[in-house]
Amino acid sequence: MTTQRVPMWLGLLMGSVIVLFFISLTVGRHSFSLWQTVQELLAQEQSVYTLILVELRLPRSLVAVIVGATLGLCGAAMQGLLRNPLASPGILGVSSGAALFSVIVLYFGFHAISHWLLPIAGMAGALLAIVLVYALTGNDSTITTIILAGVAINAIAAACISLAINLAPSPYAVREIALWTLGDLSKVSLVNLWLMLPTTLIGWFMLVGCGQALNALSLGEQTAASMGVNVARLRWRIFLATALAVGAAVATVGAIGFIGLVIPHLLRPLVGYEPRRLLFVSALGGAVMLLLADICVRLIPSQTPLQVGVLTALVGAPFFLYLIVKSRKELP
Amino acid sequence: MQWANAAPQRIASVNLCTDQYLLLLAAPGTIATVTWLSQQPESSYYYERALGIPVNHGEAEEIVAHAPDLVLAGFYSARTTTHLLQQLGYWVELFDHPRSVKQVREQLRRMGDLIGRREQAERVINTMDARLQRVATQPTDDAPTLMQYAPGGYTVGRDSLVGDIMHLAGWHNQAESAGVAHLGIVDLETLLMIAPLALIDSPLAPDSYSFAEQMLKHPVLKKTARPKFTVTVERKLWICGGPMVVDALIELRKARETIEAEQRS
Repeated sequence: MTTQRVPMWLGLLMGSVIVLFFISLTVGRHSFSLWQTVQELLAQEQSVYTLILVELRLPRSLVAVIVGATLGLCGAAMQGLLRNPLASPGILGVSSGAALFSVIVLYFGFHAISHWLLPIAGMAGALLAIVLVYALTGNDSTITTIILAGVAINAIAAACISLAINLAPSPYAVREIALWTLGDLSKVSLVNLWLMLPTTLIGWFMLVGCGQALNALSLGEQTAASMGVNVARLRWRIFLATALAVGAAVATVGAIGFIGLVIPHLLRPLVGYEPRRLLFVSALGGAVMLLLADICVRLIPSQTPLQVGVLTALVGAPFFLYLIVKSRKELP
Repeated sequence: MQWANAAPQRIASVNLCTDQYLLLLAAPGTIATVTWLSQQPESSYYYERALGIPVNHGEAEEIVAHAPDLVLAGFYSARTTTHLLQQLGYWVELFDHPRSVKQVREQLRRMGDLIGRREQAERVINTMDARLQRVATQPTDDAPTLMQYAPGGYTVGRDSLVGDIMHLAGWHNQAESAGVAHLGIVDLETLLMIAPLALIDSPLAPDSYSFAEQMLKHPVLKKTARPKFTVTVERKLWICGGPMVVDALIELRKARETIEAEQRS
């Protein structure tokens, strides 16, 4: 019934990403004509406006698209793999694992050794968390087990982040504990963008080809195996890809929560509950959600800048509750 | 519990800035304890005088153990400690952060009165004023623009000690054009718009990392034509009030004269 409707939704989501991307370029403390500034850029003139546009707003908007897409995509892939609606990088502690390792690299001067250490550390932390959760729960575990494992990993990572930042030499570090658990896009530069891009792209490409296997897996592990899917390899491929992409994202902007949970859920009915189609659509949806949230934090007047993760959590956490209530009804 | 006439003999301080006044003015042997920060050379101007004195971390227990007859504290630091000590009947005096050189003078006098060292305070003020007279000026209409840009985008306006010193050193404070009167946050976009000629760098801890500090290293600041210069002032010269603020003023004035000469050539 839905096969014909997919292109429409796809078009709508793509259109939203493009429109919101341009809105994101125009929203800021100071308003100026985007058109005129782009013309200045083409004429290779440098002004304050071209600098604001290219060096501040462009990286911020691009990173919002990339991180949003990563979170949506990885959420969809993890939900497909674990066949569990509550699987997502935030809930399972993957983001906090990445945040912990990033904090250690950043706040203790290790990133002076090489800038590339940062995305690598984020990836390692994410991978460690994912493997731990999997070791704790295994395949086809109940929703409760998965949530509990996630709660445990999140709690350990959060405690270690607080400890690390408390011990960090920078006097500003303590105030920034919240940043890592809430995420912030306001300070990203083009340098950050280039650093996160390679691992992110590798992660995305590794996930793109998983669609068919995830479709098969939705029929059960044995059926999938009989259809020629190597489930163990698929699992590691998704774990590694998620770690690569989410690790790079968290290392750049901190742990922005709930996008990977909410987006695949909202969009699943629109693609006829098909895991393969959900991947790309969730990536677009994630980009839309993060762009929207980041535009909102700039529009809401406040004394100190709002964290973008606050908004995604305000939307996402009630949704999480709703999912728990719903899943309780479905349980025998 | 108030010792109205006799000068206090066991004075405790739980704030870096009251530490400084105390280390400057107190009679030998009357300081019971100062904060651990006062022994840090980066933030404490009189750290050498603090070295032999027992330190505290602003905890009420530590202070009570010294049985002080006067406790000095800041308005905003260690609030729970000062509340508790007040409830326990200790004589607690609070000092706000001075917002001008004039207020530094007033605070020195007040401190002198509290600890029975008014004469010392007057001597310090006279020396400070004599130095000020030689070096202080006011910004001319075409004076260059300067702005403090601390980690996290924090900046100060006219109604602050740093802002006052900037004016006395002959700079226009560009943060005022962003509407900052006392203390405020200026984001990078606004910084590019108001474009001060120079930024003040007053590092708290060199070579450490935080999001807040990272903001000052944003690549856009290397590409823009303004801010063009960075003026470095040691933190210990002006994070607290005292005669050392004249040294900060001299640093700023020298930097202005160098930059003006460079601009003309």
